[in-house]
Amino acid sequence: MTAARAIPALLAALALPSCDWMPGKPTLADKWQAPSEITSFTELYNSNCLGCHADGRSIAGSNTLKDPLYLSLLAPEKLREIIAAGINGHSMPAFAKENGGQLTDQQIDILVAGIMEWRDPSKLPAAPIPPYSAPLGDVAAGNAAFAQYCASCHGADGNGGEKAGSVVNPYYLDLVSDQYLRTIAIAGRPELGCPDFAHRVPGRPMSPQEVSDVTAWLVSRRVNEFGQPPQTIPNQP
Amino acid sequence: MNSEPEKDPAAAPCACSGGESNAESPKKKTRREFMLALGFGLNAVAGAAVGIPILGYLFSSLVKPHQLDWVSLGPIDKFPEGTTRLAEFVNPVRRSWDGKTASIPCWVRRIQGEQFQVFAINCAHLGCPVRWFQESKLFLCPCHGGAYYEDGERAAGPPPRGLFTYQFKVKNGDLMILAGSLPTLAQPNI
Amino acid sequence: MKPAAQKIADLGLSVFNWVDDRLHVRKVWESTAGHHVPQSAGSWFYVFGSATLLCLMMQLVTGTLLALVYVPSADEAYATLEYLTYQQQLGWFLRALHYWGSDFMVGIMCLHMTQVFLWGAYKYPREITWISGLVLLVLTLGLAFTGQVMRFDEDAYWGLGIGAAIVGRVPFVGQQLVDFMLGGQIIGSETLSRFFALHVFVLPGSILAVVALHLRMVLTKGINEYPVPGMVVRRETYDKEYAAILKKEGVPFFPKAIDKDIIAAAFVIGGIVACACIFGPKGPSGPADPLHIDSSPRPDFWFLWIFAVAALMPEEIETFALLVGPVIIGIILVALPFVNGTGEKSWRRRPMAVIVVILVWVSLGMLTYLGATSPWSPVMDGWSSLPVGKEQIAGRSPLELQGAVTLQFKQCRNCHMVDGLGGERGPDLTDVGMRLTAPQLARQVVQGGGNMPAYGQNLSPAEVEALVAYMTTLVPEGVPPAQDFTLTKAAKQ
Repeated sequence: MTAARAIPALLAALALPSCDWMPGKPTLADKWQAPSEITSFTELYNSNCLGCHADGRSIAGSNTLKDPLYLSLLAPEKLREIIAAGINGHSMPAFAKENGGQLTDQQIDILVAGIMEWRDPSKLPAAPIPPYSAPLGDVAAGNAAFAQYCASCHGADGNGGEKAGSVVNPYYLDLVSDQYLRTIAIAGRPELGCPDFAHRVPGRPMSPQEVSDVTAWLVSRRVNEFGQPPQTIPNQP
Repeated sequence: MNSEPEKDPAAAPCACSGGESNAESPKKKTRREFMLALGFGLNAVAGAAVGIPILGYLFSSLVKPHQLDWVSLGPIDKFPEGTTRLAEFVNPVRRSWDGKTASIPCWVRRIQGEQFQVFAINCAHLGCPVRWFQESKLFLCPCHGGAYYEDGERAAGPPPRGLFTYQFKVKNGDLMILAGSLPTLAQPNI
Repeated sequence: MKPAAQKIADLGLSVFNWVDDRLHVRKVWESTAGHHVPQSAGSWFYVFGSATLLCLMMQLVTGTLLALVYVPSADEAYATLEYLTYQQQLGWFLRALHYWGSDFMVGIMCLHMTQVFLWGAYKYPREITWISGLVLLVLTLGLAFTGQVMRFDEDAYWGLGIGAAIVGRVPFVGQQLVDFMLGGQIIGSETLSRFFALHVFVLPGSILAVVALHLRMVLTKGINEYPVPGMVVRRETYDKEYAAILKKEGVPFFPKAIDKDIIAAAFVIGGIVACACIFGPKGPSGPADPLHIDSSPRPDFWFLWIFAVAALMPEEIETFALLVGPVIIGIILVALPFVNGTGEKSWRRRPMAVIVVILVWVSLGMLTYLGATSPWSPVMDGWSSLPVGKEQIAGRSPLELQGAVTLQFKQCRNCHMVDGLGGERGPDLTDVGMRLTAPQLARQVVQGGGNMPAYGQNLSPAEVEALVAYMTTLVPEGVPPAQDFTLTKAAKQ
């Protein structure tokens, strides 16, 4: 008689809870999530930014975002604007839905906040950091500053040296914006070995004026496709 | 086993008229034939009375003319010149229990001014949803890799033609398209 | 005690006799389960038919249970699926059983068909058995297709679109057929109701009717004897030979020849339950929402090969192949028992049959593999999500780095792989600099060709220059970059 009662009890005990730990049982984590509902920073970053900016572990064509100096230049609002609207005419796409992208405003906020978490004041150079944007400086002074700070790698005329390639290649200058040149002049490309403004010449950081001057000199080297200087970048929608 | 009762004539003793059935009179025979014919005839009429409405119900979509209507995609200011943007509309032919399937997306390319191209979302190959990439100015299909240029022309892959387009007009500042039907190769210009 | 037991037994017998007198239970049993089959038919190779039938029974039970919750409305179907999957007690398990049951059913049915073909069982006098089996094949595939529509998710929605696109290729009446298939002008509520009616009423009803015919033929014309090489089927003598076999070694199907079927049945059920437990139900993926265009729809396993055919077919013959191909295959299969109804049955003496079977299975297998991996599909977010390796970036000049950015920005990687990541539609670019020179790369990028769009309109001269400069650096270490042989040869002369 005990067996008669034990068997159904055993079956019930086995059948119901055992199904809960079956590997095939779907959990809420398996549930489909609309792309617009993704709120994980890592997931958003990996599917939208990783290709061009890498993530610190790898390197990519465009500058790394895991650079405290670069992030200290950039106000969060500016970063937000760049992600949402892209950089017109250059290789930064617009990600906001209203600009034809795929991300919601909330998702862009998540990206901005997540990227800004990589800021690290303890790793900034001691020298005064030049501002993110400033008017172009003096071309002639820029030429001299280039010779002093950049020529050791990029060559005396900027056409490339043993350690790094040309920065005056007309096609290169056509593809990058003035601001990009300025940003690189300040922050360098640490992940590729290009030092920032404070470390190009040991013990002699570039002054804000020198940064503006170098930028001006680089911009002055632009030519248009017919070899005529200087050329403004057409605004492509 | 089905044939069992027929094999055994004794099992059917109740043949009321069967006692003399072997010698059925010609008159009775004619009547029987008539009754049978009448039965078939009546059932033919009854069958038609049931069958024709059934067929009419089942194939109603073939009889009904295609119903298309102008629907708005919103004010044209929503579509900056020189861009291609996703737009959506509620299908003019719909049922209240259509749920999400009633809303249909389409790609709107505003060339300039009131010059537009409105493309169906469905790839001309097998109807999968094509996606616009504004960086490379291409439409790509995730199913079999069909690619189209920004003007909808076929660029590569298996599609037999360019993207399907909707007729459009601008009315009171709104972009209107003539919609209501799933575009396929059978009816490309919706 | 004994008289009481005896009384009960007598009562039981008289009740049985009363029922038997009215329903002829004994005769029915004897003529079905008890019918005589050749002893040689009690083979492991003969279990697939009963196993398929078992799957059908499972599908009827699990399907009915799912219908207790499921609502076939475009507005609500998805919500009821989510409820079944995540909330209803053991709903996920029933969904998994039904899903895996259908996979098993189609798979075992294909094995059954292969076995019948190889063992020559379609030959005289079992033509109708074969043809009814073909009808069952079509009905089962119909159930599988309509079944994936019941899981009213994005795959179902776009799958219907693919179906409509194929039907829309029919000349003259394409539009009418599309409207008839969709039950309206768009994929919507009436489409789902229509497929629900097919999946739940029309097809199961038809399949039961044809199964009855199929089994009836097994009873009237007998189970195929295990073929012996050298035994040749002749229309004039076969019936007598079969009767002689039955007389000599005929045994009642139950209980003398059913043992292996029963064991196989246990394995089939065990397999379905195990798959359901381990892998669970399929989906649902995203809802059937046309506005959700980030969808890469894929059909269920048994239709992946068709998906692959649609991708690989040259465009010029695609419509023809999609519409006329199935008809030709159907005609060949129906004609088979009439064209090839006599002669050797054993596959040992039918090399062509063996070759055909191997070819069909290998091509279906390869197409299914291709359909599952779908190398022709672009990786839609490849351009923004896939990084490149350090070797592809380190040491590049500023222009080349801009080229690397352009490669991402212009979505090249949606179709091209670099460093093991990216689309497989176009060639792998990891070492493209070894194969193509700068002018060749520039021409390919600007003019397109092969299966590549022309990017001339969509790239500025500087972008082309940067892209080409970057790609010429994609050369493995120690390997010389590509050279234009026509130029080097001309220079030497």
